[in-house]
Amino acid sequence: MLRLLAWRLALIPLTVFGVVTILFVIFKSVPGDEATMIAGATATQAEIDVVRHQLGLDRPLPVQYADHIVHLLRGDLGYSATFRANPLPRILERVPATLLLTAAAIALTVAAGIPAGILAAAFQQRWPDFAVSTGVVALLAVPNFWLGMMLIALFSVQLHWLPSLGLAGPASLVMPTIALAARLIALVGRLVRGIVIEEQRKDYVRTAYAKGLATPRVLYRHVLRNALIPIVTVVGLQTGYLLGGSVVIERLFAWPGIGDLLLTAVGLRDYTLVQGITVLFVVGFLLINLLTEMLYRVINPRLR
Amino acid sequence: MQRRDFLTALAGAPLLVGGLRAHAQATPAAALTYGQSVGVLTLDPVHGSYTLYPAGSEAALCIYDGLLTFAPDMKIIPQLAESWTMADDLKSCTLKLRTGARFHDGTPVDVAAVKTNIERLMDKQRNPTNRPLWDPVAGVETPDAGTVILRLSQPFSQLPNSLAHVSGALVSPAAIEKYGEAGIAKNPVGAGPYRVASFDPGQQLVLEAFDGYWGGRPKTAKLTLKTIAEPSTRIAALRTGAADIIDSVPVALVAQLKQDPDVAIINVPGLRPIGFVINLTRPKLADLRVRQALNLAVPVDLIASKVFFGFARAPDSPLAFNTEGYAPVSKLLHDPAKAKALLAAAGFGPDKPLELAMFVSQGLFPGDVSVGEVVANALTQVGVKVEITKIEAGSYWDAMRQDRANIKWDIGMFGFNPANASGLYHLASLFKSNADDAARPDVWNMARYHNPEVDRLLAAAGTQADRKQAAADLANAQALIWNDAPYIWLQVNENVSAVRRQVAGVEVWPILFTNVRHAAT
Amino acid sequence: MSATITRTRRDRRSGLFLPLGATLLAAFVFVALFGNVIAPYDPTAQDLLAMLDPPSSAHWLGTDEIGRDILSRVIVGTRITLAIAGASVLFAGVAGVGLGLIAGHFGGLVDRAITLCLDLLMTIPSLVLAIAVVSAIGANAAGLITAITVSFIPSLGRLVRARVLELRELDYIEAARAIGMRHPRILLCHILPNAVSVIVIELSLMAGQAVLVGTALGFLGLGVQPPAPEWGAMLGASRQFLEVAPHVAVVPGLAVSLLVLAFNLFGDGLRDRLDPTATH
Repeated sequence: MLRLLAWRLALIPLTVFGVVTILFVIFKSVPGDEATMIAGATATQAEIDVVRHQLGLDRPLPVQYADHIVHLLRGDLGYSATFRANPLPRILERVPATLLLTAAAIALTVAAGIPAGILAAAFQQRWPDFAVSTGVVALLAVPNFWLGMMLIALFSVQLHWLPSLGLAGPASLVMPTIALAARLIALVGRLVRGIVIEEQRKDYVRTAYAKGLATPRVLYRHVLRNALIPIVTVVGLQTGYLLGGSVVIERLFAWPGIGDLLLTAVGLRDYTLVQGITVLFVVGFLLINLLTEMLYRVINPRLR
Repeated sequence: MQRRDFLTALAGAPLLVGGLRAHAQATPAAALTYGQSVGVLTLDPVHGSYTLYPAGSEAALCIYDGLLTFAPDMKIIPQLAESWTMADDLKSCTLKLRTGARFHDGTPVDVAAVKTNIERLMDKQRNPTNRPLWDPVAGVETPDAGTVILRLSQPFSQLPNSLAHVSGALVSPAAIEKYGEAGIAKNPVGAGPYRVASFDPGQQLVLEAFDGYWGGRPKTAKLTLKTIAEPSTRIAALRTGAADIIDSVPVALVAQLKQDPDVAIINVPGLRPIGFVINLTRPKLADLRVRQALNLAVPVDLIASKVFFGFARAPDSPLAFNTEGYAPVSKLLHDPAKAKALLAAAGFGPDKPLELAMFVSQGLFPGDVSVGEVVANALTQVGVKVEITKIEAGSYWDAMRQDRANIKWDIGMFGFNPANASGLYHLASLFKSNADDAARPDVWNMARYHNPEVDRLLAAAGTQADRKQAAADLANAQALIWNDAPYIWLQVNENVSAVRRQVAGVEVWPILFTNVRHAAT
Repeated sequence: MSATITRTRRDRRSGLFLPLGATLLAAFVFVALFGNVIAPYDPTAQDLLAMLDPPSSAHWLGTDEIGRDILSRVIVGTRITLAIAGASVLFAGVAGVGLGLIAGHFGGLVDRAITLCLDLLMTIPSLVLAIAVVSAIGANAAGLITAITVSFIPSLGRLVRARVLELRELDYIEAARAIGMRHPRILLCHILPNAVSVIVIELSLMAGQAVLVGTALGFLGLGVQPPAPEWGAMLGASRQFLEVAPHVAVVPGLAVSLLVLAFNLFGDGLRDRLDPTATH
């Protein structure tokens, strides 16, 4: 397993290299560059040309590309017009907020999704099941940012229970987490329901019941353990959603994470920053996927 | 880390946050938080000045002192200079320097430091922005330890305005030496009442009282400038006490906010008239009748009273009401019938409608997209076809300031904030002929407005020793520009900020800045 | 990514999904086609004397920040949202199916090159990719459609490729190849028809996602140009007035949810009908 881990870790830089290349192609194929933004609002064409030369934007594309890669290897994302420097430290200091939000969302997904699924399966075709299933269908259709807005309207504006402001204490985590996790809760709830119903029909569960084991024990010892693997898979598959969704949620709740910074960068047309943050998202995506796979192997003895 | 330790650490984090908050509330005078609509990114008076606008300038007002500064009514008052005298020929200015002032690093604010700073501002390489403010300065002389004489290449009546402008802030020469030319933006060392404790560009700037401030240590020990972009979040922060001061309150929410007994609103008429600059290089818009028609089509009073809930006023001159040198010309009228007639006279009608490409910023000017939609709708009512393009605030300048061959707009929203409070500077920036209309505009004359008489009047107003005659020249220039209608004039907004009721000393300046350097409880 | 995951057993209720989804979708298409006629007001007509009005008999859902009728804007906006989702899914479908077919059928170096590109694109979270593309191209309808299309191509391409690989091993395809049938013919006449059900299911589920991504971009101010009544942009504008006029935010959000629900039900129902054995 260590060898596999090492191999997969080694693949990450290669993948990042590929993504960097794709982004380079995308951003070089559109007209305009950072020089105009850096030179300032009242700059003359001559001044813009000076900046363009200073940044090396007047060199042939292959040279710029090679230079870009060399700088990246040294941890230099390029010159950001917003921060007037390599933006990497500014991006990294925002990572914890995004990590906190996504981790909280995953925790909530597990904490809410699994019990909901079990509840639905235990009361199959009765009202708790209908309630959960309806909730699943609804949550899969609701845009997360709108859910967030409705939460703000209710809990901040009407009831004054929760702050709608950025990251300030545990209470501020509640609404962004719910808004981000809603979709995952629905997916996991539906999945768990299906698995529990399926497993309960299997021989070993029937045997366990026949031996007189209590329902919670059977559920816990046998059924849930088997359900873990697909749950991990589904959460892993939704990493992209989780990271992408965090962008909108962060903007809505003024959450000081990298998604919020990405939108600021887009607004300022800071291509260096946009590319840097996108690459960081990719690294996050790859690491979470790796983590998922490792977890998968830990809980699935057959793959160990 | 042991698992248990880790869990304890996790459990402790919220307690810590709670503890800090409780502490902050127990001693309110010690710390104040200002929630800004945009983030502070750089803090060097030169090298592209203070980004972003106006947050950087507001931070600069706390960190830096200049030779001169503004009172809240935009009257020029001395700061690090004790007095100043313009020569009768307007070609030099003598300043007496205050003694005993020190920069945050302990070095003295002496004539050598002033000389270094003025020369830094004069240098086009290091200071490419705000050129009209500093171009006339030709040299600095320091005859004795208490006197600075600025030599001007031409008569320049507006020099005191330049010195009071935020870019006239004095930076410690020792700090420039230490951090390098490029390092000041992140490590600003001034002689203002607050020094930088920590700086996370775009997120927050923590300032602490400077014990050695020449005017005495400020009452507030810690001042945090925190970026809160979302207006409703900013308001929530104010109401919950997470922020003590906030800027740019959306006028739609003012009435509701006023009901909160803990909150006070501060609103001041601004100096930035908003309008749509008209692209005069388009033959269809070169016709004065068309431009008059566009102005007549827009219900400016409704925009002021409804879209801005009365926190705005339709202008009656190219300058806003309280600008130095403002002279009223004529009231804007809303007359769609006359607009249609004028358009018809210019050859436009139902068969051949006037088609306009409108650029509007998103989040740069108050209610910009909404106002753009209202104007587009009003123009449609008189038979003009309008296509709106909204552009993110950060890249709006670049989209607007193209060379003639690449201008993609017929009308574009714009408003100039005269940050040195000078009406002459305002008019010259917007309406003085460009050296080359085919290139990018020299300053902000994006309309490519060209009126030799206006050029002459503006030049005379700036060099005239007789201030009365200068004022008359400026008034004449306003009338000429107003009647040439190179803009669709819209409104002058009020700058609206809000504070927790116990916070005193916050000044909202007409030039957009919320000055918190005197804020205290 | 598909909105649906393992459903190990076909529920009785899920039989209702397809007709319910189809009916809802038909209703949306109807509104999209005839919205201009149904809407009580011109969706861009303003009444500055009636701004942010709560629901009344004149304006059933109230008015927005410059006095436009919200009901009319939601109705007419249906066409925009549906068109953006439809166009992006169509383009993503054509590109994804094309790439998937080529990669799966030819294998070898072609396959590896295409799969590599798709895999790389897949590591960028789709909304992040869409934002990056919009920031490069510019915020307008074309940019929006391109962004959504690009972010959807990878998953669809991989899906089609996997299906083709399965089909390729089937006897009759091998037979076709053995008798010297040309590649394009095999692809179009034998492989594509057999992959159609998978593609159709995926596309209809993807359409729901396209609505979500499109409105999210609109919400962030990266969508179509004003004064077009796009739902996401309406929600974005209403954010500022949430404190004083929450009604402005409610209905556009409900409309988005309902449309996504329609696509999800339709896709899920279709899957149960066409591919009852599908587990993922």
